[in-house]
Order: sequence, then structure tokens, then C-alpha cells
Amino acid sequence: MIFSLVTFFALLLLNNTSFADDSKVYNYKLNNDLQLIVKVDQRAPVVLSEIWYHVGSSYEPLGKTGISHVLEHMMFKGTPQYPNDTFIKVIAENGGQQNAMTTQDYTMYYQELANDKLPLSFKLEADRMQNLSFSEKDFASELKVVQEERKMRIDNDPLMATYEQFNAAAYFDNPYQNPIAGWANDLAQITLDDLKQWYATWYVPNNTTIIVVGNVDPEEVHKLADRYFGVIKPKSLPSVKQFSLPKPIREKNIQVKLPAKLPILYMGFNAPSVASAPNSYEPYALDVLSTILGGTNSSRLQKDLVRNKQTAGDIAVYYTLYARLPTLFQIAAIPAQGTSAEQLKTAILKEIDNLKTKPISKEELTKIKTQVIANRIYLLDSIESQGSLIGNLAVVNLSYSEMDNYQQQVEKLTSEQIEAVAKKYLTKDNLTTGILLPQSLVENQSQKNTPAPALGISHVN
Amino acid sequence: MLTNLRQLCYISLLTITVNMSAFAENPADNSKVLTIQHWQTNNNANVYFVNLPELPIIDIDVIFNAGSAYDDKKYGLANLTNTMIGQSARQLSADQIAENFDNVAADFDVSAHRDSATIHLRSLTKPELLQPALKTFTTVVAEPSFDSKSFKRVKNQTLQAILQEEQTPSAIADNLFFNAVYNGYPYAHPTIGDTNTVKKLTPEDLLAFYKKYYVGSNTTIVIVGDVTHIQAEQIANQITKKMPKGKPIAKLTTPSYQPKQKIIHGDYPASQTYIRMGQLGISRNNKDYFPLYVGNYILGGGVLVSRLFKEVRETKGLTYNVYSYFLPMKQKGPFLVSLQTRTNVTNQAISLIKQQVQDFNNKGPSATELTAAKQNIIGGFPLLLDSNEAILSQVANIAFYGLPLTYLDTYRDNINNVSIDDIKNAFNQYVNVNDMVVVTVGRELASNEKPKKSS
Repeated sequence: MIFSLVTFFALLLLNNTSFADDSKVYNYKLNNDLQLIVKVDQRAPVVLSEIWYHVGSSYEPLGKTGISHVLEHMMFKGTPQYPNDTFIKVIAENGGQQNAMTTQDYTMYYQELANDKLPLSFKLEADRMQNLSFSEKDFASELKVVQEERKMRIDNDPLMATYEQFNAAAYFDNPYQNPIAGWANDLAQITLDDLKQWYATWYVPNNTTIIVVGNVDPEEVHKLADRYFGVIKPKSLPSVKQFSLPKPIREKNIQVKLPAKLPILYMGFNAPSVASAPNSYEPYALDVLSTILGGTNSSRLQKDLVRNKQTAGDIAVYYTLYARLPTLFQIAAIPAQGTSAEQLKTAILKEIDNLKTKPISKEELTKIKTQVIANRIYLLDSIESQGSLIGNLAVVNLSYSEMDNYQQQVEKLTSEQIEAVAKKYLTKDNLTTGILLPQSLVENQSQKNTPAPALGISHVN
Repeated sequence: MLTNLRQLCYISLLTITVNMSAFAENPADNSKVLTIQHWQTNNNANVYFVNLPELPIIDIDVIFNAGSAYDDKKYGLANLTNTMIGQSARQLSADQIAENFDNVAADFDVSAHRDSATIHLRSLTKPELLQPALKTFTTVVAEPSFDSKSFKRVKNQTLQAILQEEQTPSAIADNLFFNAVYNGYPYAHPTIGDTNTVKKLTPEDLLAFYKKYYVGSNTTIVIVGDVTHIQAEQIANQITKKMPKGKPIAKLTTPSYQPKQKIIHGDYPASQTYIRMGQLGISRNNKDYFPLYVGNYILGGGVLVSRLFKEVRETKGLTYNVYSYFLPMKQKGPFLVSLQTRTNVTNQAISLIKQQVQDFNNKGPSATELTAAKQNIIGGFPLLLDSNEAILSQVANIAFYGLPLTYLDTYRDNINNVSIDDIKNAFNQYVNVNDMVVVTVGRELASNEKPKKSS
């Protein structure tokens, strides 16, 4: 009992000294409805400037999957005023780092710079938001790059390639089924006109959130944003379709055959996100449930299946609380040597049944509440993590104060509520399973004269 | 071992895979960048401490000269020993250790490389949380038990991780490259070991390795965060109290390098070919570190802006990512160029890279390129110290490689002083396209398509 007492004490203590950082978040809206969020962090003389367009792979129709990501690449190809790679060069020569990322719900570009260089970031971003060049030549070459990227990330990685198939099966009635990188067929058919249209439709101020984290004066940032972005005209946006959770009336099993050495098991239960279950305790209960089940080293699956029964080599549990559409409660697991993927699945389902019948202990709940508070403080060590959290909340129309709400929601949760969401969503009739059945990595073995060593490595000197 | 599911949700313009250390600051600003305090414990452990009062967090790295270079023939021994730290200890099972850290929301992790083995703790600094976290940390660091149940599990997990490397073409290419460059030297084999050697390891092997290498004289402790000097001293003493002083580990011999040109192919049923080209480079204390660092930024290190990136990706669309780097270690680490490309243009990519490297050796960078590189590296200095985590990593680098405590203070000048001739001379001394190992991993090419030695 010593452990739980320590935790209980820790929790009390944290609550009393909880780190007040929320006061340093400033929200603005420009006249064209562009949203600006500034979070002050004065620890280092740096600034992180991010621009979030509320469009990603979940907005794409079949036939044009991957288009958000191709556009992300094209955004680095210049404008009439800053042609070719001027943007990249200017940021580099000013000591900056930059990159971009496309996800299901958003496309995000960022620069991290010394804190006096923010105007540079705004000037260049405002320019490419309106004036992208779209040359045929750049498009032809960049499309090849994107196709190579898809091969590297997905086609040549059996775990990712299996996940892509699993994901498409689990989200059978919602556009999260699209791979962010796009299906290879669609990539091959994307045209420059498609890209221009995508850009004209979605890259508009009223579909944009700018996030600035660092050693800055929020009022100055607001003025600066107004100067560079305030003049851009808003446009009416296409209506965005709504999606609801599928009825739990099916169990889906898919098997993927690919060259590999290790099997993998993916399990996904269709579940609501905060955005698709507003004002409900359910997403918070699912989030805590994912932690109890597999979120930490002392979680149930780690303890029972990885360490004690040793039926799994590794297990991860992931639930996306902050998503625009209904989401998945996901489990990924590598069966231990001598255990089949099917056996591991049975063992995991048994652990899930235990959740529904044996009450979650006070210690488990208290431990998680401690971690929630601690993680909020750890998050403050990274300006990237702060920006990322603010942005992820913004794309589902939540402000940073959701962090307080999250903490309160978790505080209020009872073990009965957690069991209730387990009973409601973690059922076999709501489950999609994807299993990788590894195939030989050696091709055309019969054609080789000598027995190939592992992987057929040959040396030519 | 498992790909973090979170990563499945992102696709980015460029995966940044290399994090070379580089620090510089506005040359006009001569103030001290970071105050690093250094002392030794009674049993000879070297302690480095930076007080960072802004957040109520502490990070502790305990680093041993106990990487896979010390495996001898038991490949994987150093890694398995390191992985077992935190999996069982005196009177604590793996479950209890996990509970103890999670109850006070402390993060614990371990990692092993070719030179080093590290144990890391992150905790909040409230004594009621930090004290229990430190108590568990001290027990797992100083009194591991290598019990047979945990050992069997961790060994099986390691064997699975090896299988995962064997199905990952980039890992296959890296392993072939190191093996060819170091041919029998302690850096040649992968840190994780190979299936045959790992299978044979016993708890007794691990205990013997632990007793020899996890001793005060072979230990570096880095502490950054919201604690005072006195607290840091207490923490370092607590961690090392039960460690014997031991002996400093003898330095590795200097690696020798034979390849004039060596072409190696690994068959793999991938839709691309993974290429590694390079040779033996420099150790971390090499006097030409700065010219080579700045020069490499221009050639292939500068993210999105290097010559290789522009030529191979932007102009020709041959790859998603291409970069070059020196990986300086305690002894000479490699220089290498890394990329993946469509299999049918493998030779085109290799020739293009050779031509670019040769051109860089012949002419060196232009004055404009040098200025741009310095502006990026010097101007970007504050970004590399923008969090406790980043500072921990920079101080660990200084501490482990024995760099001067003023390293960060003088860095900007060292970068600024690099000339075109310095770069040209250093590159011609260490990089030679006619003396490289070229590794390709992918589908086998027809004989007339295979990479050829340069003449």
C-alpha cells in the first residue's frame, strides 16, 4: 500500500502548486477571421512561428488522395516575388529551422528563429499563402519526390504498409480511411490544376490559424499579423460534411501478406473524439482507459502480457482525443516468439474483458491523475510541443483553456464511467483487426546457384 | 521497438534524421552562454551541472563508457546490459520499478550506442516526488539484479528488434556500411548485436560486464534543471554511493581503413534502393572539426539547402531525402552520404553524388555559400539551447567527449574563423570519392546496371 499512499500525496501536492501558465496565452481574431494565438515562453531568445491550414487528408475525395501533402511540397517552390528556393534560403541564412507537416486534419508550416526575426516569417508566409507560382517543371519533379517519399515511408516498411490496409478497413465510412500520403494511383493522376484549385479553396485566412510561441510581446505579434495577413481577403469555404460513428454490427479481419520477418497485430475499435462527442465525458474516459490499458510502463498490457505472460514483445495503445471526425481506439502489438497474432489478440481481448468486470482501482486512477498534471509541466519544456497542442486544439475549435477542462474532466472521472466506455466501445462487434503474415524476404531463390546468406548479401571487392 | 502510433499520423516535407551538434551565437555577444559546473565524486565519477530555474523539472543522464565497442566478440552484450537496467534490481521487480516511477510521474529510459550507455531520469523537483524517484533510480542504476525471468524476456525482445532491423532496408544498409568501413574493429557490428551472439548471452555475462564498466571511474553524470549546486552534489553522491571506484577503461585503438573502393549489395525486395557511400572520418576531438562541420553543411548537411539536396532532390527528383554527415565518435567515426532512390536510377544517383563531392573537393565552397552557412549555424545557435532537454543533450556531448567547458562560449568564433581554404584542405584530407565504400540495398541490378568503381 505504500505506493498508492505516495501517489495520493503526490497528487495533493501537485494540485496545490499547479503551474500557472495559462495566463500567458493570447487569442486574437483578425478582420478576415484569421485566428492568431500567442503563447509567451521567455526561457530562450527564440520564437516558433506556425501557420495551420485547416485542411488535410480527411478533406480529400477518393481520386485525389494525397493532394494536401503534394501541395505542402509545392509550397516550397516559390512565388513571383520570392522565386524558386528563396524562402528556404532566406530562412536558413537567418539562422532559422523550418519544415512542414500534413496530417488527417491539417497542413502545418513552421519556422523557428531568433525572436527578432518573426517579421521575416510572417512576410514570407503571407506571400506564399496568396501568390504561389505552380510551375509545371517544379510540379513534375516534386511529384516524383512525393512518390519516393511514399515508397520510403510506407511501401518499404511492412509495419506501415500493414497499418495503411488496416486503417482503410477500420474507417470504412469516414475519410480517415485515406492514407495521408495518398494512394499510389491517385498520386500518379494528380494534376497541377487540381493543386491550384485545392490551394485556392482552402488556403484562405478564414481557414487559417497562426500560432506563435516564444519570447515575444503578444500585442506586437498581433500588429505584425494584422500588417501581413490582415489585408488578405476571406473567401467562403465549401461546406464540410459531417460523419458519425458506425453501428457496432460487424467484426472485420484483414490479413496482409508482405515480405517481413516479424508479424504485427493491429486492433481498432471505432470510437468518438472530443469533436464528435461534444459535452460528453466519454472521450476523456477513453483517453484515461488507453493509459490504464497500455499508456505507461506500469499499465495492464505492459505488466500482464509483455512482462508476466510474455505473449507480446511490445504493445502500444493509442487513442486520438482531439480529432475532427469519429476516431479509433487503437492497439498495436508484436506477438512474442512462439505466440501467434491470433493468440495475442485473444489475450488482449481477455484483458479488455477484465476491465469491464473487475473495477479499476483507486490507485490506478490516482496514478493517472498525477501523470496528467505532471505531463502538463513536462510539455512546457518544448515550444514545439506547446505549439502542437495549441494547434491540435484549434483545428477542433477548442482553445488552450481545454487543458484546464481536460484536467477537471479527468479529476471527475469514476471507475464506473471508465468501465462504461469499455463496455460500450471495446466490443468485438466494433472491432477491426489487421494482421501481417510475414512472407519470405528472398526473391527468386531458385535462380541462385549458391544458398543465399541471410538477405542474400553479396560482396564485390 | 514499436513504431509510436502517433508517428503514423504525420507526413512531413522532410524527415530530419541527423542532429549534428552545432552551437554558435551572435559574435557581438561575448557573455557566457551557459554556466556549466564540473566536479568529481569521491569515487571518480565526473559530474556536470547546469542550474535551470525556469521550470520545476530535473533531468539526469548517467553515461558510461560502455557502448557496443566494448562487446569484444559478444556482440550485443553492452546493449543488453544497458537494456536490463530498470528491469530488475535488488528487492525490486520490473513491475515494482515501473509502478514506482509511474506513481511519481517520473520518466525513465535507457539507451546504448557504440561508445556510450546512458540511463536517463526526468522528474518534477518537488521533493515529495523527486525523492522517491531518485530512490528507485539509484537502486536500478547501482544494484541491478539481472534476474532470469526479466533476462529471458528482454533477450527475446532484443532478438525481435534484430528481426525488425533485418526487415528495414535503411538499417540493413547502415549495418553493411559500418561493417565494411570498420572490418573487424569494435565499431563494425551493430550495437544491438546479431541473432547468434545475443542468443548465447547469459545473465553472468551481463553481470561481469556491468561490474567492469558501470564503475565510478567510468561514469559521467549530467544534471540540468531546477536544483541547487548542493542538491546536485547530493544527487550525484546518492547515485554513485554504492558504485565501486573501479578503473578508467583503456582507450580503444585507432581504427585502420583499407577500402580503396568497395561495392556491396544487399538483396531486399523493396521498391527503392537504399544507398550509403562514405569512408572513415574523424574523432570528436579532431582539430579540423569546425571546417568539416561547416563544409559538410554546404555539401550535404544543411537541411533543404545543401548542394546534394538541391541537385539530387530538387533538380532531378531522384530522392525524397539525401544528406551527408561526419559522425565523430571517441575514435574515428565515419563520413557518409545517405539516400534512397528508384532502383533503376541507382547508378545515376551514385554518379551524381560522386561528381558533387569531387567538385566540392576540387573547388571548395563559394564565398556566398560560406557566408550563408555561417549565418545559419551562428544565427541558429539559440535554437539549440531552447529547452532543458536540448541543454541536457549539449552538455552531455561536452561531458562525454571531454570538450572544454568553454566550448559553447567559443563556438561562434570557431565557426566564424573557418575559411574556404580550411574547408578545402580538410575535405581533401578526409574525403576521397575514390576511396569509398558504396552500399546498395534493394533489388539486384542487371550486371550492366551495377555501380562501377571510378577510374
